[in-house]
Amino acid sequence: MSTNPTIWATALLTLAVYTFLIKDNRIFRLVEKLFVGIGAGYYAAMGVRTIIQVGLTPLSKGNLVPLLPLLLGLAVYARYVKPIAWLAKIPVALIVAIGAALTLRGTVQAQFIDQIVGTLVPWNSIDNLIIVLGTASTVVYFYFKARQPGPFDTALAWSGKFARLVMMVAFGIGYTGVLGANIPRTIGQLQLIFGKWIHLIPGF
Amino acid sequence: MHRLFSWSRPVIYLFVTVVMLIPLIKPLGLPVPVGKDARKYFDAIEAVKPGDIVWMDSHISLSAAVECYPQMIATAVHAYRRGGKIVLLAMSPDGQPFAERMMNEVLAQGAKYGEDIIYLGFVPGGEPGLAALLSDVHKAVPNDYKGTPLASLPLGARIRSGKDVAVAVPVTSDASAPDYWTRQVKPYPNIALLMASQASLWPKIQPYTATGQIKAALNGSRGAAEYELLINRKGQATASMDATSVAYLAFIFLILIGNLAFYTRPKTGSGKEGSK
Repeated sequence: MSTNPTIWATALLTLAVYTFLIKDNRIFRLVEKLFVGIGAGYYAAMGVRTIIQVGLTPLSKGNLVPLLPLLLGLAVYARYVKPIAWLAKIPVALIVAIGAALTLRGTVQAQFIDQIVGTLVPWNSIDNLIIVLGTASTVVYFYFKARQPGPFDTALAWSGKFARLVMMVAFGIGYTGVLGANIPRTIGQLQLIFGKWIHLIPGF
Repeated sequence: MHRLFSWSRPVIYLFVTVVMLIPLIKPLGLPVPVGKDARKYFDAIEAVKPGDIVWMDSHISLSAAVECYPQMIATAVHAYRRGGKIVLLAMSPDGQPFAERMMNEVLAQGAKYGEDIIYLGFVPGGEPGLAALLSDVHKAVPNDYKGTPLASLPLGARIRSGKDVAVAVPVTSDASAPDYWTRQVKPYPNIALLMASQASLWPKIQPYTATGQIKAALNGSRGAAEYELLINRKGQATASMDATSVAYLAFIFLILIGNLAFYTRPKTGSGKEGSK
């Protein structure tokens, strides 16, 4: 058995979470609240540290540049004082404007043009054919689904069936990704409990 | 028949736990074939020339650390071995302890702080923060994590903007990272963008690797294990590969059982699907 109190605490808290499998209970709820509380505290501390490092420390050394962002940050809390509540709109508007401008700058090239260029491939392999037909049929499926009956109905129906197939494969891959993310987490906890805590797994 | 295939949740957990625990206690030695994605990633770091700046972002959440940390340390060790100079930062608060741990492991390999590696600390702001860093590092982050001015460190003085970076490696569990990294790195054709992520982000990354916007990427623990084998440094990811492989087999088995339970379920009188 480990003599490290951190390992003990982590192992016992992990087991406490697993007690939920039997049924919802007080121990599980206690650990749940502990996790939320510690997480909130950690993020709050990080926020305060960042304000001190990036804002207050340079300001105390005579650098006035952080003054404007600090004032804008304070303005967010103006919403709690009714007569000056309108001040809170200024930092929010700036955040939205800067965020949108930065996103738009790269979106057209990186997420639109480059992605279309990526589908312009020679039809000389199964992979390339799937990329071209899969992309085209999926776009057609979403954009021409609600059209009026017309001469291309049969072609569109077949294209729609192929698009659904492609999407189902994509969803399957997504599900595998989620599984792939959860398995190592479980293994990590098993290594902690059976390796670092009770030394059943060799090498810990 | 239906009852035979309907397992309760605790039974499923117990089954999966036992199945994963056996290869952890007694390793099976299953082969880990190296895929082309891990090899491409390896080649990209192998192409780092002595003195090249490798920018690494520790954007790891606590829950994803078991997948992402082995990727991060393996990348850093490999880049350091190639003579790369590592500029490390954490764009999420959770990423900080892992960044510091990684830095200490690289320093233990003989790297010198300030010359071979520097750590900028937590950089807030997400996408705008990244854009600010790429346009002027010294303005965005004037000091390293200890408060030392960047300009006073040899490596810190060298890195002025994205134009000085050869390779950027966000190690991330953030689903929006592939989008905003490709957006913001686009104006810097000198940067080879790589990505290491948890497995659930893989479908999101693949459209960018197909177009070459992301040059190469590592997929979760599996990718980390393959990469560890390529750089000849067996670590945490390799150690858990047997259990991971067996767990996948167990899940395939459970999916089959679940489908059998579904198709053999008794039909309700109204013709509607039963809830159990």
